[in-house]
Amino acid sequence: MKNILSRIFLLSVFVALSSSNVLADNIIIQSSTSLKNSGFYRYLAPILKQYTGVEIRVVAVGTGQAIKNMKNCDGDVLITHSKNAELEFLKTGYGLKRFEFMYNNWLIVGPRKAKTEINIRGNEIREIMETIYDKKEKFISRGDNSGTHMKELSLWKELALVPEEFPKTWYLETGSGQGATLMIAKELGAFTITDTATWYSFKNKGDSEIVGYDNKDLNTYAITTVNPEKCKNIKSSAVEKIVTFLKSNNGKNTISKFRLNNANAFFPI
Amino acid sequence: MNDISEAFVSSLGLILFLDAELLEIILLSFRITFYAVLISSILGIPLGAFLASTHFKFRNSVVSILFGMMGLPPVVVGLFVYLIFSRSGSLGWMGLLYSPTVMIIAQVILILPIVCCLTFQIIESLHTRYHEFFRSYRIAKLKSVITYIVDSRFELTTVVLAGIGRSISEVGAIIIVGGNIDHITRVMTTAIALETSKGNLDLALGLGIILLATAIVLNGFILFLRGKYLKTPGSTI
Repeated sequence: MKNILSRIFLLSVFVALSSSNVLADNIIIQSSTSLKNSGFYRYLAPILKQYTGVEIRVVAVGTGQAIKNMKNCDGDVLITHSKNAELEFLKTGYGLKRFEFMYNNWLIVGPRKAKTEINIRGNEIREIMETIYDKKEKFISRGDNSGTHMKELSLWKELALVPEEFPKTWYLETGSGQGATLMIAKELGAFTITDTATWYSFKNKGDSEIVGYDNKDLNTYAITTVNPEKCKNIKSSAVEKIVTFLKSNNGKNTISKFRLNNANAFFPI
Repeated sequence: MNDISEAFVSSLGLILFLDAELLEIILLSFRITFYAVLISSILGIPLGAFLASTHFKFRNSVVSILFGMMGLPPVVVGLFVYLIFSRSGSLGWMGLLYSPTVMIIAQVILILPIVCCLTFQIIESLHTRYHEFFRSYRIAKLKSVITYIVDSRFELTTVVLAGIGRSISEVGAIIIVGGNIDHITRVMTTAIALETSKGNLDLALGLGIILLATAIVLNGFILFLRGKYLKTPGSTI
């Protein structure tokens, strides 16, 4: 009896271990989290495979961390949404070329009572942030050097305000990802910044809703290739195929067909 | 409350309509846990037994360090392993980052101290009872260590179970070194983290229930095997 049992056990272990992955032409994308959380890569991966033969593997960690990982050569290409950080990456010599390939909109979300009880007027993101500052309403910052965090900091800068000096009674840094931050904002009835794709795909909105938009700037996603002289392991030809596809009409169509909540999540450039 | 009841429904749905993707995630979790615990046991049990039955100059310091390492924060271990296996790290040339192998390595670092220290505790008490006996019969060191291990094999299953428990529920280290890549390095815990960040709380909790259920089944199976051996007379190795 015991022999049979141990054989069954060994056999099941063997079966569990023998599932192996066949190595195809694959590349690692260091990416911002929003594109993964919205399901965009899940939608894009089979299409890319079909048209370019390249399999993508996505590490989603936030723009700041993605760039840092890429400087360690841990990946083949960068897809992020912070122009300044990407230009800086090019300047260091690690980045080779940067292509903007799609965009969506920045949003500020907050509690449902924002317009009524808190008396937030207008729907322009800067105007609303100024009111939040004046009224000392709770605001949640990502605080994690992600693309969204960098955007938030640049907005405060445009308003000539310095977040480092804000009292921690109303300006709270979570230091965590977009999902966790949205959840904390919901629970505290606070305001926070996000983008349309993330917001449409986020399933735990509770009492939060869109309070305003950025009518001036777009949330632009760029694909940045890496200098093979700095990182010898880069699979440049596979990356080239992906870039070519995303910039082709076919790629643009693919991007516009990805919809969330019956609305376009991203618009091709 | 609503979320919790929804979670049970969604976990039931996940189990009933077990799809290939979920199966892949569960199997990868098992595979990583199996190797991490196997390697930790092969290294940790003899090491623990050796430390428990030997006295040398810095033994107490080594033991204190090992006991302290039982509380290693997974995120720190993850970062440490990441920096070593990053392309710019000292072992970057191996190209192991974002692979199941490096996830196993990170988990071995986490589990090895646990296996080692729990083994130490079990065998130390045996050693205090028997070392006079072994010495009077002039039994070789190696042989006595082997005897301790064989003799306490039933107690040592608890050690292995503790290792499995830590390994299968761990997320901090493997999400850093594995990258939570779809179909490649996504395991149950990292899938839970991802679904939570997407706000799919019921699905995340559902996956958590499956994780718990598989852990219970796995533990039950091992305890069942242990019981079989315990009851069978004359089955000593």
